[in-house]
Amino acid sequence: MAKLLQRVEVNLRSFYVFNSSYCKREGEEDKKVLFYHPNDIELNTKIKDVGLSEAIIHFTGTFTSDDDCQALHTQKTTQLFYQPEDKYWMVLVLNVPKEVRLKDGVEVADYRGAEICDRIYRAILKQCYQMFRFLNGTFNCIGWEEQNLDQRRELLCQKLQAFYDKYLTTLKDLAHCDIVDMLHSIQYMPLDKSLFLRAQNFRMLSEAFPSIKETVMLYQEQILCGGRLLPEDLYCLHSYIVKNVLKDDANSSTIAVSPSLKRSISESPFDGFVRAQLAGEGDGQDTGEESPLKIYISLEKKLMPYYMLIYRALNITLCLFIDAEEPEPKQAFYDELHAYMASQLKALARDVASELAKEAAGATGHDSSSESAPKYLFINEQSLQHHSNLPRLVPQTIPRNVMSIIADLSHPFDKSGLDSSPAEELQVKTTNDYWIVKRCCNFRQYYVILCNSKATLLDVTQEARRIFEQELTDDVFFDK
Amino acid sequence: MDSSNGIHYIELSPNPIRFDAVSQLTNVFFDDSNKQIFAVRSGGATGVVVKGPGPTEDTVISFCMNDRGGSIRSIKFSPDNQILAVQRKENAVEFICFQGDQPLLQDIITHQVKTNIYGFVWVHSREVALISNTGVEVFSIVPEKRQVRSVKSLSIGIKWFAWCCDAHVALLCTSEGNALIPVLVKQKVITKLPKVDLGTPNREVEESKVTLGQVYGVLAVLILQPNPLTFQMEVEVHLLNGPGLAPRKCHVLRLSLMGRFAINTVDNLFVVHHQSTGTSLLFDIALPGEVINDVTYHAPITPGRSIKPFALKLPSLSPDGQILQCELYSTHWVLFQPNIVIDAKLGCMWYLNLCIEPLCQLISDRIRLTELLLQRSNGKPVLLKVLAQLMDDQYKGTLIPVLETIFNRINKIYASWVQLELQSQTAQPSNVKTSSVKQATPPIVLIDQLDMVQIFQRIAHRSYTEAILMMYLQSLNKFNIAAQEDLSKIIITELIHNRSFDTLRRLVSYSMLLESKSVACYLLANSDVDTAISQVAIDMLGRIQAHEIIIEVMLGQGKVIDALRLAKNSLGLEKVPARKFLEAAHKTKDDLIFHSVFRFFQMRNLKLYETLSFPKTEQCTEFIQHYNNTFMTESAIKPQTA
Repeated sequence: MAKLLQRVEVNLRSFYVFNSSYCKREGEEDKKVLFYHPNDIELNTKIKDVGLSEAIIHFTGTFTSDDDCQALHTQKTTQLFYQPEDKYWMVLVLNVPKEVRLKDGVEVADYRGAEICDRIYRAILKQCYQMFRFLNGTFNCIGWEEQNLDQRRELLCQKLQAFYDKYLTTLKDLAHCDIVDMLHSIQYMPLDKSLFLRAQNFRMLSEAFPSIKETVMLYQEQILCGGRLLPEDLYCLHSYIVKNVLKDDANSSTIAVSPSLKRSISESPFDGFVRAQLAGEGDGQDTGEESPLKIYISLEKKLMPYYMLIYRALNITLCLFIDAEEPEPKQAFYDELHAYMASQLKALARDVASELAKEAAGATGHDSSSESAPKYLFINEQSLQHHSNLPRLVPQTIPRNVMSIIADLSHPFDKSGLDSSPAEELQVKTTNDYWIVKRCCNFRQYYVILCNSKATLLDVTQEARRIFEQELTDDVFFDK
Repeated sequence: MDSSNGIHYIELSPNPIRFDAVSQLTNVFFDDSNKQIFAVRSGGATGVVVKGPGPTEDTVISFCMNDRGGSIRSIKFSPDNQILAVQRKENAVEFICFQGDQPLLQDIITHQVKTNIYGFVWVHSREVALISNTGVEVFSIVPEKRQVRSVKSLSIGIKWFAWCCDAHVALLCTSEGNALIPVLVKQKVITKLPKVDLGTPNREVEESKVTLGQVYGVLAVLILQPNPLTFQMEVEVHLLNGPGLAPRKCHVLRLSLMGRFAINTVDNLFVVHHQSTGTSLLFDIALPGEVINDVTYHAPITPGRSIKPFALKLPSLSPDGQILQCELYSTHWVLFQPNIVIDAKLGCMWYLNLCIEPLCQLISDRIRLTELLLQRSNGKPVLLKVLAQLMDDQYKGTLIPVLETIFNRINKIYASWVQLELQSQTAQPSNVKTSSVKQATPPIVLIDQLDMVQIFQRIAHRSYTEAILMMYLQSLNKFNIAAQEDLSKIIITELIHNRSFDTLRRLVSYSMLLESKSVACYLLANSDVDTAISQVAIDMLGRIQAHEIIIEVMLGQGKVIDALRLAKNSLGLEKVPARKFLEAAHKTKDDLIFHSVFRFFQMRNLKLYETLSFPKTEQCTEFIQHYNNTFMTESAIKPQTA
């Protein structure tokens, strides 16, 4: 019997961005490589890797359409390809999980490439791009004013370097990425309708301050109202806020509250405008007149730059988007905004908090998040809103294969047909006695995960129905 | 006169009642109960002309009566104009019965008492109350027996009295202690009410300083008095709205002027005329003011302005006529409650009217203006106009909080009306006495959703329309009023126009829009804009259990199997129309779907009719044919059973 000595989980091998059109003649192959992680390897290896990917893409292109090459599995690696913009390719190379066993006194590596779910990691690759675009705009638009192609390339390389060096280090442990990472979905805060309307009507701010084009409000890590942002943009914004603004709660050293607002610090350390230093924006030194963060979102069907001001009052984080065509907001503008909304926003935050406290008090007794309780995941394809009790923070309570199966079962949201995919119901039993029940109806997908080795089909159906009825409280159309 | 900048918020009614002016021969009396003007020539011997307001034109009664000695002190008709009461002596009243509009002069009933009569008022067509120095007594007049019978009396020493005919209340000033006691005098009833609290005991109030008026359905005793500190005049307003109609000092109107004043009430506003400046001040006790010790101190709504000048057309032989500019605030003016102005010298009787539109121009605070207009009888069209302007050409982003407050004011009244209507609806079936169920009186100004929708329609597709609509919805929600169809549709239209699908989705999930087939179909009709809309529409249909529409939508999308499952679950197996589904399945040109649907109905046939074949009435022959052609030929090798 082979003895398991060690298991190495999936990890990042390399990540690169290239554009073949930058290589005009032989000998300039290095120009194709726009970004390569890890940086500290020989240029020749980088060029070779890019060349190989290029070849594979080219080769598969003869069988399918241009950007259809999605993944390449080798014994030791899995490569994922994504072409976000014309001629620009992003490649994520993963080391597949391996188990080292002792067989007849010899260490043998057993590569488990099949455990990797392409769709999850492709979604992560895609998010790498979306996040870059959110903060820097598209690859194509960087340095568009530059005539010289080489200088343009240089500028892009710098941006990529600055962004991804930081981004890749903060990337979630790849071994723990699951269906929720794949879906890029967001949790909305369920609120009483009058509170919702109050939060919603905070968007009136843009009436009093016409330069404000859109507002998004979060309460802790949940969205209160997302304005007109597309779900993808909202996801980027959400992950940005969670990673950069809320994370800093623990160590407020990187937050610079503008001087005029320091008075309120005694009340709560996070009230007022948040002016954080970011990758690519300043060098971490507080120069006093920092420019506001510039982000790229599409409000009017077109990707446009906006200044994003982040304002915090108690647990509410308010993001204001200001047209970047206009001059940068001045300190007076911040002060005026602060005076206008500080008290209102705080009152709202307190009311939300008391509402949550009330709900929490009412909900004691039935604890659905316990380990043994059945897990569920509901996703609205339209809003990318999810509702779930999957344990996100405690990894590996649900085996990987179950997560991978769900990932495989789920519909891709990319194709935007007018009609929802037909209603369906699926039941899958995994080799390790998990059951997955999937239903979908009216642009929504519902999954229930049960673990019961002795369950019959009938039991599973009934249990799933019970959960659907219990948890589907928001009264959407669902043909039970 | 002060008419320089031409804005006047008070005017005299355009068609005054004309009567013979006061002269050596003619005496003029006014009865404020019947609003009749009596022009008495030579003590009645050469004629009495009675003019009063009628529904279309003035009513005129003219007759003669003999001068029975003593000049007339007071003359009043009973409410039905059948008995005329005339006081010529201080201790006697004569009652003259009428037949048609002529007096039966032979049947004069003279009622003599031992006291000093201050006056009399008719409380019913056959009952009159005499107020004298010893009290109030109600008499019943029986013309047939030529009798006057005492019905009820109240003994109290009286110095003077004032009468408010609308409230049937006499305010008595007692000779002992100078207390002001309101007394409710009705047919056969005299009810003494708690006295007016004048603050200091034994304070003497002159008759000329007291006015009785009714605002917002409550009787008010208004006492003019100088402020002890500034010596500027103030009006104390005692409202009879305490327990047992006890008067309470609730308001003080600050006039900030000195001199002679007269008070009227117009459309629930107090109008205080100041003779020396020739201006009239408006006060609304419903508006907020400065509150000190539970008493609200009011300043005039706007600085005082004069009554609109009045040009009287005099009858003349020349074709262009002669026009006389009437002197306003003339010394010949006598004011009666609630809003009557009589110029005895000119022989004119006017009503005072409120000119609301000029008033609006003088009030720049839109919230205060809204509050004012919400209480005015013809405020609705003006308020709607103001609102429309605010949202249209006067719109500014900074107006949003103002609009929010205005919406809340409007909807507070709207909500109370919705509540009242609901109560009257629920009360009706259980209540035995249907006649006793009072028709709830609507608020003075009711601005409901439909009124607002008309304004919103005018500003459709502007950048700020969504913001305004959402705020209106929030205000409605605050007062628990559900959005109706028109409002829901206009909100949907704006949200779709602005591509605010997330907001739309959440409004529907919170049931904040009307859930009806019509609204859902409106959503469906717009579902080509974005798939999010069709999802929301189906959710709404699902919630109102409109399965038949969802089935149609699904069939339209070619999702025959989904539709069939839903039909089976919602309609029941036996009610699913086979032909419809087979036809839809056939249209998809998908053999698998057609096969599944066909087999489903075959199984149904087996269950219901114990045979695979379809009943004739379902007219499915062409589909049976199609099934046989498609699927049977390939398996024709197999021997056919059945």
